[in-house]
Amino acid sequence: MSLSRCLPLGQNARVIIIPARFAHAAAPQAATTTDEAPNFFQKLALRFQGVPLKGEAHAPKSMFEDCNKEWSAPEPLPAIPKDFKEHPDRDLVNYPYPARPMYPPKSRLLMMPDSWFTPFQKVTGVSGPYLFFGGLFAFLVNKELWVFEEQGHMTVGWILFYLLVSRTAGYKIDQGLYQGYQDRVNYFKGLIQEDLKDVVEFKKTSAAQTESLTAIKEALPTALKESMGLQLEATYRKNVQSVATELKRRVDYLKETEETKARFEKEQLLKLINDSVDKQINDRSFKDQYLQNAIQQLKGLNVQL
Amino acid sequence: MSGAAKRVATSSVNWSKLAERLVPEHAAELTRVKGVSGTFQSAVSQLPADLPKIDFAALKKALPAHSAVLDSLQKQYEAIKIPYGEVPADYLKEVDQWVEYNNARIKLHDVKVADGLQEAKKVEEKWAKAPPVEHFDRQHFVEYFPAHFYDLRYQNRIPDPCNIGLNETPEIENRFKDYKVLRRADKVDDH
Repeated sequence: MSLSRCLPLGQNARVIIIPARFAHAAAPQAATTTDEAPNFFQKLALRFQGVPLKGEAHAPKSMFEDCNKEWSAPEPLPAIPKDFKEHPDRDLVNYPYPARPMYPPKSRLLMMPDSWFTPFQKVTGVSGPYLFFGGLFAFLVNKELWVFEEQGHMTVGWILFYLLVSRTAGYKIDQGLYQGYQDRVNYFKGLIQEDLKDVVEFKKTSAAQTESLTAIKEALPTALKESMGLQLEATYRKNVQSVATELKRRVDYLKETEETKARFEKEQLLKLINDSVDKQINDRSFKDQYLQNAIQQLKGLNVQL
Repeated sequence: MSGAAKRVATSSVNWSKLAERLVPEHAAELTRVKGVSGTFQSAVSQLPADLPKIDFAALKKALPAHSAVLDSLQKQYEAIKIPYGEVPADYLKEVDQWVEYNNARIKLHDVKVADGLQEAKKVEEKWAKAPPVEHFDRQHFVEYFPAHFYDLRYQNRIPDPCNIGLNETPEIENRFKDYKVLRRADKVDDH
């Protein structure tokens, strides 16, 4: 069926189209298509959708984000060891160790403990306890056994206030308290670790000292005795060296004496030869004879020009 | 040389390996001994170990004129005995005394370690027996962290929740020891 059938458009009929551009109608469509430069309304729509704008790493955190959220612990409390006893006499069957619960016990109607209701349920069914407590309350009010105090209606306001706060800031309060609790627990765990660290440190240092003392016991007496032995050896070697040096000195002396003697003899011999030659040279007759010989030889020469 | 005593040419102690095993408190002792030993060791390594062999026959051939002298030298050289000496007994006794001292020291250390290990075991057992901190009761805090908590049921002290040090001096306790006397002790009641 087309829309034209619904509109009785005659010749004289005038259709007025009123453009209705409202943010809630127009923006989501634009937000999906335009991502380059969203206009004001598109940005608004993106904000509501929780889509980060261009240039934002993540969408800004809303102050209402944690409203109406139920807090739960990231990890449960550690369980108590099954056979844990503070004292061997403790009766764990009748008096089990009161372990700290992570969450408060279950309640109905904001503050009525669930344990008050459950025993009734077996006998009266699910609505029984409500009827009983409602009837009891009505009876007490009727007989004026429970008399409303004149400011009693303020309770309603307080309950409303509690509801408001617990639903809005409850999550953050719980989270903060849990954080504080964790910090405190970690502080005590740190103290325990420190205590145990001392133990470990003591074990390590005492083991090192024992090892050190053993090493000293093994090595030091030997080292001391050997040190004295080395001292003896050093003295002995010094004596050996002095004996060797002395002997070398004596042998060197002998060698030197021998050499000096030989040198002296040689010098004397040379001197003798030189002296006799000189003497013969300086002799007059020897000179004349030499000249005569030379002249004879020159005469004998047959010079051809 | 006389071979009476055993000759020591090098120290058999592995100093670097030994130094690794020692704690700093004992390292000083080692350094002292090592210093002395090192001094003599270097002296020993520089000097000759034995008398050198000398070829007297060749010498005699080279120096025939001095063969008589060389003969007498050879005789003397071969007859020479360099005394080696020995470590005085007193010194050895001192070493023995030191060994005794060291044994006593080791014994004391062992006693100390045994004592400490017992204490350590106690601490470990205490924490092994303790419940998880998350499940601590009020009295557990007093029991396990006595430095941080107190139990006024049996501890004689003034409540000091802000930890301003009320229990550090006995003045307050003395002042209020007798509940009937709320006056200062030095105040004279003369009217």
